[in-house]
Amino acid sequence: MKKLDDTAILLRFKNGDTSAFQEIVLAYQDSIFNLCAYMIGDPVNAEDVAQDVFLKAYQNLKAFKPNASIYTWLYRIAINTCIDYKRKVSFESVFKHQQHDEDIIANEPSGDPSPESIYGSKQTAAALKKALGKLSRKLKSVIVMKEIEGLSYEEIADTLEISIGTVKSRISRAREELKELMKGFNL
Amino acid sequence: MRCSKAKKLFSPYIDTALTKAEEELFDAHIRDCNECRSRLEEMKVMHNAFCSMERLNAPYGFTTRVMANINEKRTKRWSLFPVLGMVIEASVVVLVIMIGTRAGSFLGTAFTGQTTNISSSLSLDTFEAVQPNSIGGAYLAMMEGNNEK
Repeated sequence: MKKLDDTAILLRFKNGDTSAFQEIVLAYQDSIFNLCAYMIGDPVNAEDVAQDVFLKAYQNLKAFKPNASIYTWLYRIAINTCIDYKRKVSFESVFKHQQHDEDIIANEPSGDPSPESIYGSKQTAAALKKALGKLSRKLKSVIVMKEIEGLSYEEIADTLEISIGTVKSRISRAREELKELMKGFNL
Repeated sequence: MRCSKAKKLFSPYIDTALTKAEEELFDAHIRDCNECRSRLEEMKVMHNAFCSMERLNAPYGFTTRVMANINEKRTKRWSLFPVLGMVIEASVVVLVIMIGTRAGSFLGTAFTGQTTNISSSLSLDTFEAVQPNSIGGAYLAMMEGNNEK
């Protein structure tokens, strides 16, 4: 991920240069899209959520104070937007009798894996995606940022505005829960 | 090192966040404890599965759509102003009508005497008969004559 000179880009934006925001979108679009896709467990709707993230960022960028970097600030907006989206979807699914998390899993290879392929990467990845969908929002946020986005403990702590100790314990709990959930999926 | 302590170090071990001393103690425990070794192996499998997960990039034209979306929202915000002007205009008209009505009723109560005169002039009690030598009297006499015929 290409990181930008936050101070310079903010100054340009505050002076009315809209191309400055376009540069922000170009630099972070892939990371934000990837994060949204794994957070909501639905790559099809991830674009709408990621669009919403950048729209919120645009509306609030003038008020942004550079005590954090733009990308951790964007991750924070993305995590909150994904949580809101999931709430909305689960609220709607109450009426539609649908389990959204399991929609994308349906596309994964199914059937009982043989003992030889028990740790086969495809099956493991499918079970992992499924397990990820069952994880609580708090644990999912930290594990996605750590394992999928490759953020450091410090960056996750900055993004979620929690202590590094909390980040470490949440990551550890997330791994333990994922391991147990994956066992439940016969892997 | 006890298993309970080792269990807490699985996650930072995978993230290579242990100190050199912690790592040496952990490695020594893992060499001797089959149960912890097997659990660590499961964690590593999961970590590798994460690493092998596909990295999804934003679809083609994403930035263009974001900027178009922003411009559309900005245009919509500005287009609210004519509507706002119309609402203000209508409010002023309603306000003027209300002030007029209030002022009218105030003037009516301020000149109560005149109001009484107007109402009494409309009353049948103050009806005066038409004089026979007036134009009205002649007209009435002619009409009565026609009716008798």
